Amino acid sequence: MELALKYLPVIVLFLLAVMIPMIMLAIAGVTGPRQPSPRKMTPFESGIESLGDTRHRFSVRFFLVALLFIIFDIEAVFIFPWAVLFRGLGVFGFVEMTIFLGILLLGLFYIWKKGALEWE
Amino acid sequence: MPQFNAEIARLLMPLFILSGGACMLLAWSAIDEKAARAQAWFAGIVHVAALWSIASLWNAEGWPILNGMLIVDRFALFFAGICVVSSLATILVSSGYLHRFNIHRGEYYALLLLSTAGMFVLVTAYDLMSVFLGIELMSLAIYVIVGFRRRDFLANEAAMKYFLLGAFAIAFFLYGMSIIYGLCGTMNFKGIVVEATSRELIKEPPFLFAIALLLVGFVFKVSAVPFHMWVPDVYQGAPSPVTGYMAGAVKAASFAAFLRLFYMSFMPARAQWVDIVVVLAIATMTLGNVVALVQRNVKRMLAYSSIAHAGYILIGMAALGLDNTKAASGVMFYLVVYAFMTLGAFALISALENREDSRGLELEDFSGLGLRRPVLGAVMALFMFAMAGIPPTAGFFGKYYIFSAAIDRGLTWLAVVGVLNSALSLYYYLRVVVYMYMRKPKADAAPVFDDWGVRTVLFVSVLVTIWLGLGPSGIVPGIETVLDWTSDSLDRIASLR
Repeated sequence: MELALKYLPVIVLFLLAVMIPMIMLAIAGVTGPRQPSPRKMTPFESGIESLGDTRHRFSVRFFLVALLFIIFDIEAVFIFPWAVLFRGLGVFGFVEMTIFLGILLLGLFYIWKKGALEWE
Repeated sequence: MPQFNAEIARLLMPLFILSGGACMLLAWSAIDEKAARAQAWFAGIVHVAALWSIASLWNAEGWPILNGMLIVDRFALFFAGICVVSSLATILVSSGYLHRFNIHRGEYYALLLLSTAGMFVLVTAYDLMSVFLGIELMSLAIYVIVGFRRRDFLANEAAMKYFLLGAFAIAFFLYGMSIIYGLCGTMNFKGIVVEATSRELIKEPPFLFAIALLLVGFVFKVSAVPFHMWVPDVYQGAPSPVTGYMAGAVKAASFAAFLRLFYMSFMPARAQWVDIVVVLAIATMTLGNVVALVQRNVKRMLAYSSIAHAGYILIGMAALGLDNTKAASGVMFYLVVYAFMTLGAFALISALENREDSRGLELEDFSGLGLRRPVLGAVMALFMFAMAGIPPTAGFFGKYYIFSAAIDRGLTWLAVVGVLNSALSLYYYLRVVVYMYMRKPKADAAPVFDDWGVRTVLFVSVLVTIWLGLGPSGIVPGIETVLDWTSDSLDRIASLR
């Protein structure tokens, strides 16, 4: 019982979080006017005419590029805080980052050699 | 300020050797795709170097390093040794195997090295963050080598399944980590136990919830029920040498981190998790053994047997939870023994395999092996007897230590369930022996591709299986040292607590 009291705020918050959207949907459903027309039923695409289905087939290259992009994205995530603290970290930080970049460069070298960067 | 000095560099030398070797191998295989055999040699040499540096660290102090992220003590080195030896055995078997199926590439060895490096992080982990890092580094590489037969349907299915489920399981683990961090303000093993006892978190539901979530992560990695669904498909779809590696090394490394975390950090809360481990152990043993009874495919059968072995080891974990350090020695002993038995068995299976796809061997493929190749037949029979736990093989003493530790702590009925399960398992292990000796060889039986690599692995596995089987009876010296090491390193963990 004591435990339940301790977590009461969490439970109340959870219930509220579930109930508020449900109530809002219910109000909208009951009070809102409903006059569907074909134009209204089309998916909203920033106000322009929709251009067919969204389920296109993409070339696998896009996925490859996205994957390779993530590697360098993460590199940036590590480099920014390092650059801010560069003075404090001194030589140790420099060597550490050099090793890290070296490993990433090795990865770049590998995918380059394997032809993952060639578009055609 | 980060601490780093020559002493720490020395302690982490095996890690540097393994990961540096992997990087070099990766660059090499990008330049030269035809040099797979030379690259296998290179990977082997890197392993020997890593093994040598592990041995040279044996007398290391064993204090937490890098702000308490890692600890290089005997316990860690013991398991690191198992993992590196398993990996080396895998290389010896793989070379011929991959060559035969035309998938011999240097990347395979680079990934194997990376995965072993991950295991080193996992076994030396002293912080939940390094456990996570180790599991991921180990698993990511294995996800890829499981699907190394890229054009094969089953291999693709296996890799995909393992990856998705593994990612899902690690998400549970991460959630548990975040709750622990929220409660204790630290993820260090020692920090957790200090905070949990001083702030009386032990009976708090969020703390128990976190333990349960961490348990899910480990139970998945050691392939115990109810997170075992991936095991048969993945073990079947993976190249056979990799299957042996997964059953031997991945399981050992995961159990090492499992044992250290629960023995070190969650001992005060043991009343809450021992019962769960007991139930998991019973379910795991029983399901593994019962389902293995009906398997016709040998790889799937050994996959279920691997589940069952995880169940036996969980008995040891339960006894350890009741503060029986002998149980931990039992667990460690069992993992060594199991690693060698399973590596040997899968080395032989790899040598027998001759199909292009990865469906693996059926029982019929073993027909008459004992008559055709008497030595190989006898070796396989030995591994089967050892897995079933028949003396004087090492498998018997593995089970003996674990069951006696359980009885010591009043878990007699659990030991009885374990013994009954071993009896059950005898049926499917002996069926392989029956096929080998009491069926005529098939007329179109393929030759056995036992090159020197396979023979070396078989020889060493047989030697260890017999040596560790005779040792405890006092006939062969040396086993006491193994047991001393294990209890020694556990005292150390307890003293850090």
